[in-house]
Amino acid sequence: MLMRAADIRLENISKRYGDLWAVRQITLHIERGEFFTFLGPSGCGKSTLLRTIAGFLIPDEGTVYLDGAPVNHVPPWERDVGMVFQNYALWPHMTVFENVAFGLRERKIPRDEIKDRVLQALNQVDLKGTEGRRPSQLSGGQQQRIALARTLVIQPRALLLDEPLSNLDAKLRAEMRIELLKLQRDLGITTIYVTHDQEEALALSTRIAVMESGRVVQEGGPREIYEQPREKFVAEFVGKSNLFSGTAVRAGDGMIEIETEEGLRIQTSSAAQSCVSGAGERVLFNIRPEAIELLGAGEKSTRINRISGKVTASAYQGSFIEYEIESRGRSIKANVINPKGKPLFQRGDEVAMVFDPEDVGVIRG
Amino acid sequence: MPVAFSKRVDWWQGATMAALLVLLVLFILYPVVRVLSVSLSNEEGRLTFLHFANFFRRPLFREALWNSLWSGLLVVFFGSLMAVPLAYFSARYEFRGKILLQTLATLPLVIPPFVGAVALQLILGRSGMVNLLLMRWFDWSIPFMEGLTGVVLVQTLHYFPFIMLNTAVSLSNIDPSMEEMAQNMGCHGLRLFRRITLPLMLPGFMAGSLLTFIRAIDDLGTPLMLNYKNLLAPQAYLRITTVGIDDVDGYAICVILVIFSGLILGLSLLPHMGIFLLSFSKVWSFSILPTTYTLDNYTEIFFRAPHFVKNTLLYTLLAASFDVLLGAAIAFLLLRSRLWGRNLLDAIATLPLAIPGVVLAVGYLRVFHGWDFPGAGAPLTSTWLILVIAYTMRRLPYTVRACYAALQQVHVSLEESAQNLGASRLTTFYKITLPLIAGGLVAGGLIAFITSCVELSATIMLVPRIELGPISYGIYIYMQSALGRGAGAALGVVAILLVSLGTYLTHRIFGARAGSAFRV
Repeated sequence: MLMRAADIRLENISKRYGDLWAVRQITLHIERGEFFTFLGPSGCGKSTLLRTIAGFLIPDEGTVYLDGAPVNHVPPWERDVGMVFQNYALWPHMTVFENVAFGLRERKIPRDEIKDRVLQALNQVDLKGTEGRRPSQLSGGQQQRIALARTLVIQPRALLLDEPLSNLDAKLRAEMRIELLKLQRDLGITTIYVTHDQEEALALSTRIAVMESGRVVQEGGPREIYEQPREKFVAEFVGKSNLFSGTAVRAGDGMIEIETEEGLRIQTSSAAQSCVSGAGERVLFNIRPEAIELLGAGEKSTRINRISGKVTASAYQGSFIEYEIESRGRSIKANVINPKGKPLFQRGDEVAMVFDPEDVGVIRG
Repeated sequence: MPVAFSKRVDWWQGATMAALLVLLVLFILYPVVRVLSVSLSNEEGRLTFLHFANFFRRPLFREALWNSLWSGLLVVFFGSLMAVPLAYFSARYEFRGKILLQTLATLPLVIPPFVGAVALQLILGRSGMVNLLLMRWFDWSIPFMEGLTGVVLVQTLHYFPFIMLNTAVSLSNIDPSMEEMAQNMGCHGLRLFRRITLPLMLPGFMAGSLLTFIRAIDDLGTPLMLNYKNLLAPQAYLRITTVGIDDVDGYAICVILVIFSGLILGLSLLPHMGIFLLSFSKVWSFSILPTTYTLDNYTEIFFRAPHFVKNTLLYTLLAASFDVLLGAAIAFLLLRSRLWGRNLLDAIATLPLAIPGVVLAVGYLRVFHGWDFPGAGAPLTSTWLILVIAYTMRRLPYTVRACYAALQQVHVSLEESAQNLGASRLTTFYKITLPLIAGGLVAGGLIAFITSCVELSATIMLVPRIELGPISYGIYIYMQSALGRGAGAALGVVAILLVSLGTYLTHRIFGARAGSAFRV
């Protein structure tokens, strides 16, 4: 099944509910075949934006372009963008076959072709043989895949997914994530995915727009979003973080030395931090927990940054251990890969946290 | 001692269940079964279908049966024409005056249909307002209120809210994404309505239609008021009251009854205006509006014959209180116990929805007229208690449903956490469950109160003496004579005010879900 893939452009989109701006002046360009994710907490406007693209909402300001044509006043049933709802929206009064055939019947496809395409779509989602059943007789994961088949069978020019995996249990969610990824890459269909789950967003997307209270705060590929967050919100929302604020005390030799509010001295390489111009400047920076290595109090290391502290909590996660360490009244998270066979640090142990200057990401000068 | 504990609990629940079952069997199931058995047995007490055969052999009864079914269908049909568009607009669109529309649409339920019948006579009848005007201007009149047409007209205006409210609730329960998905697939407009909306709202619509159908063929007051006797309910009434309670034809008819069991709003409000005018009029006959106005009618009902109002308050408040107690107990057992017989309890408690009031009343007369009620020194049917019992049982389904819905919202974990913190079952019920379901209890009681206030079908057969009659009976008695009509209308206004107050309170408590209170 070869898909048509649309190019979607949002220009200056704003949408208001009463006095509240759900979406404020958003401009985005989603290219053909992309897997683009709107990531943000509930109420950030991501679903509003998706529903604007589907045509269920008309923006108060701005224009939606599908393949270059403005579609603000094209009704949902003429947009030809397939949507999968969070609760699947399978019609309980129809069988699985009738559900999947619905869009094809609306398109006046000949009866024989409908049958072929429905069966093929069910086959594609591994649900051959369920066509005579009612949606209520299927499990959550099966319903999810029927909803996907129902949308894909009409070969829409874009696929809009509104938190499609949020109603599944953790294990099934991980499985469906991989299936969805393969399906989308095989079909090459332009896909917009709405989620509040940063892991899903990082795993699936070619690009991500992180949203907060109606605005896009950062837009970029998964690595860029995770490794170079430009806003405090992004650093905190995507992955775990140790955020510090402080003042640059010394700059030069490709290094910047920062003194945090707690009095910790930390060095960062100035190559990656063009936003810091010189000493005396206030900065906000982030160290990811997995960048930190833990050493016993006396152990030596070649890494430049070293902070000593005391373990206040340790949680064994199997593949890694999650530590919480207190230093100068500040608690710092460190995730350490399971050092198989070796003893783990215990609550109360004196330790040293070491990390490279490159792992210190300055967010704002 | 977990075993002893659970045994004791089961014993209490079992005892409650047994007591409730006995009560419901005695006052719902047994009377109905007696009606059935009388109609199916000959003089020697053996099974016979002779009475039914006789029923169908008589042209009068055949016609009555046909008329009942036909009028019920017509009422559902015309009622749907009014109700479905209104339900759709009120469920799907936000507009100024939406609340007003919803309130106005429930108003017809507020007025007893037979009171509306009298009022509509004055407005649409042969010598009513409209026809007098038509005669004056065009020398021509329309027989709105003659025969079956009049019955269907009155019942349609009165019962269409049942269809509307049920349909509206059903519509607003449809997940919007169901329709959005279809739009996303390219479906819209009427086609969207036919393929998605209509099938999904059908259960509510059917429930409303069924209720309307049952109510229409059960309605005794309207045909009596319009003097159209060729329907099943009036036939049963006339047989029993004129020939006596041993006449089996009446029973056969009862069983048949069981077995087949804008402009619009302006039109539906006509009866209210008519009643209001009439209650202040000295004479209103063969004139477009009343000729003389007076307060005498109110003096009559509040001072000279105050017992109608007093009785209504006594009976309906008692019945509503019993309904709340029974409803809460039944709902609790249905949702929280695993006892055998829960389904039976549920079934019997729901049965009154499908049992016409006439049938239940006939059953009561048959079952209780023979033996003296302990303490009363007379048969139950000679005391006013029988009316309270009839109201309680007839409205029980409403409170059971209301309590059930309220209790369903209370997650068991809320009760369990109280018990986990040391509260006994009883304490848990008083401190946790009761406060959480209180709204549902009060709303259920109010619905029982509202609907009992205007009950006539069972009332008219069960009232032992005139001075023991409630408002609805008083209206019926007064309306028999032209002179008493003003006083009857004044009683009607009192009934409307009582019921409006109840409806208003229900809306306050239920809020936007007020419609669901009138659901089956």
